[in-house]
Amino acid sequence: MKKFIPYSLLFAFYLLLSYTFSYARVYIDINKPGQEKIPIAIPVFLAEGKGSDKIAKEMSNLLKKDLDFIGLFYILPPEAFLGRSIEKRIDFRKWYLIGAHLLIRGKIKVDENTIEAEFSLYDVKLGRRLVGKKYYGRISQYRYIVHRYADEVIKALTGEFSIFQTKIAFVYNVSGNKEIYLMDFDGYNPRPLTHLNTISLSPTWHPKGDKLLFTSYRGKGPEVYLLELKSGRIRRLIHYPGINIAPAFSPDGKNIAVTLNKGGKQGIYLVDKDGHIKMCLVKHWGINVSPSFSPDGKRMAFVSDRGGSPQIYILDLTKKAINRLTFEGGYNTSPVWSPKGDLIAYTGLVNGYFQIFTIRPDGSELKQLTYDKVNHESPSFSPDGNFLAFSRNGEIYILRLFDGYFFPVGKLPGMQTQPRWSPRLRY
Amino acid sequence: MRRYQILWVGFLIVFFALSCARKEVAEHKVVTPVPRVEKAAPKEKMPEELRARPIEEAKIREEELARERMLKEEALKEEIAAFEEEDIHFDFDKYNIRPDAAEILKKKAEWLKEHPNVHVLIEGHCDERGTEEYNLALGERRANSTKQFLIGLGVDAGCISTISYGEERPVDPRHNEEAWAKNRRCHFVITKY
Repeated sequence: MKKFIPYSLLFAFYLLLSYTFSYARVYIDINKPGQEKIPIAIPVFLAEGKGSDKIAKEMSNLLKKDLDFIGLFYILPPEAFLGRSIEKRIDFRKWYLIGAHLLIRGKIKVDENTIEAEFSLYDVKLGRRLVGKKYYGRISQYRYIVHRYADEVIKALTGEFSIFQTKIAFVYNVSGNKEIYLMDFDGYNPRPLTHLNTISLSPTWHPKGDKLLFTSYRGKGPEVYLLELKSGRIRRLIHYPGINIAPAFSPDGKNIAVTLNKGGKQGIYLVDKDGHIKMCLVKHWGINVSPSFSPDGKRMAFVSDRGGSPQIYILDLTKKAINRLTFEGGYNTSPVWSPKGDLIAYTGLVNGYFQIFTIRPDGSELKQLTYDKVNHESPSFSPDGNFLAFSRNGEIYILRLFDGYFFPVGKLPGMQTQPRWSPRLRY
Repeated sequence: MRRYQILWVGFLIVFFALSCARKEVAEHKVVTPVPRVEKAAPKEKMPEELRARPIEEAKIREEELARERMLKEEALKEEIAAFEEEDIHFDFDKYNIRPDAAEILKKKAEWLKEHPNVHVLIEGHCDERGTEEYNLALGERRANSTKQFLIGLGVDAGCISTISYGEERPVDPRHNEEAWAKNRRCHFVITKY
């Protein structure tokens, strides 16, 4: 008998004492551009127990890094509040005088392999606690304790959870093969999900975040496999003669859209969770590939060359009508529908280089997000819709949609491509 | 003690099996040529020297046949190598058969029709530009249009299968127009002959 502790249960292990004050006030509207960054002070957490000083420092630095990721905060340098971190009663007036609007204080207690952590976020002006949480877990999992609290901070300030409890699946070429890998949203802890020693591509998340589909050459040709994250079990799911590529789950997770070749024609078919064909969605003599459903499941974006060049089309599943979405540029591929349904991101060729674009599903508000003379490919939305992951010359980058700033994550040797952002996983 | 006994029994079994196997092989070598020799030899009794000649002749004929077969096989292998070596190429993002590719395919179709037992796998490939998924779909279209072209020239559809490798297996790993032109191809692999 193998002893097995599921990932989610491990995190459920954290005893969560919630004494949240629910607050109606929205501090930050993440969709409003051009707003000022909120100054926040995060003094090093108080530490108790053997070796706790180092961990406290790492944890407070990680919380700063997390909040910096969002791009909404000005994190005050520690020189500004030297000596203030150990005060027993918070003197909010003093914090306000050094320019802090928000303050996060934390306290950790280390005992052998376990850690107890308590954090509070304060509105300095009002002198009130906005959200306080207490966590209990293994020391080795301290990053996830910080990520969880960071998510609570953003929830308290914006009304919605952020990306701190998400992961990114991607394709990584190692030793001449392409395997499916997984890493935390910040590039930490990259690890292989497959060891198939062949070409594996196009990871796609199940909406619940517990399963992934991918395309692999493990058999005779490209076929679709299902990977269960908890057990690591891999099962061949869609294997019709010809090709089986670019799978996408429907938003309810019950069906899969996939490109097959039936009778010499390439089409996008809807198959059930066991791989049986339910119906043909799109069929045409040319190329039909890369389906992405709208969050309500009523429409599906895909790529076709029916107009003479690769362009993005939208299939209305209720009206059975197909409309062309992109008209600018001669090569537009890999569409992804945003989680809120308001945008479609894609890759387009401009002067010999691939760039990332967004467009509204009605064809308005076309925006080019990248301009550098390198290739930017395969965009993927974060589950909160505020970020895009994409590959840039074989490295994975994350772009903040509200200010357009982008930066690499992971930084592994070799080529990393096709990043696919997970749903919120609840650590 | 008991363990040694078991070891001895095991050793004996292995020894016995090995000696049997050797015998079988030896027998085979003797048995095969015999019936042919008997057929060739006339039924009446003959002096030793006379009887030896037809056996030798049969042997020579046998050797000649074997050599012929080998030469044929070698020639076929060379033809297969030549067939597999010649790729056809495509324009960027296109899967129509170019005139230069059509000439090559005509040659290939003739050869395939002369060798009806041959099975060919057409691999569709793309250059590295564009997204992986689109290139998988494009490679499939390239292999498919090549297959249709060969069928149009009278090649049996049952002898042709296709696979797309998209941009995953470039012949030239460089990142320039010369490499891309080489990589946009259909490659042919004889899977059965």
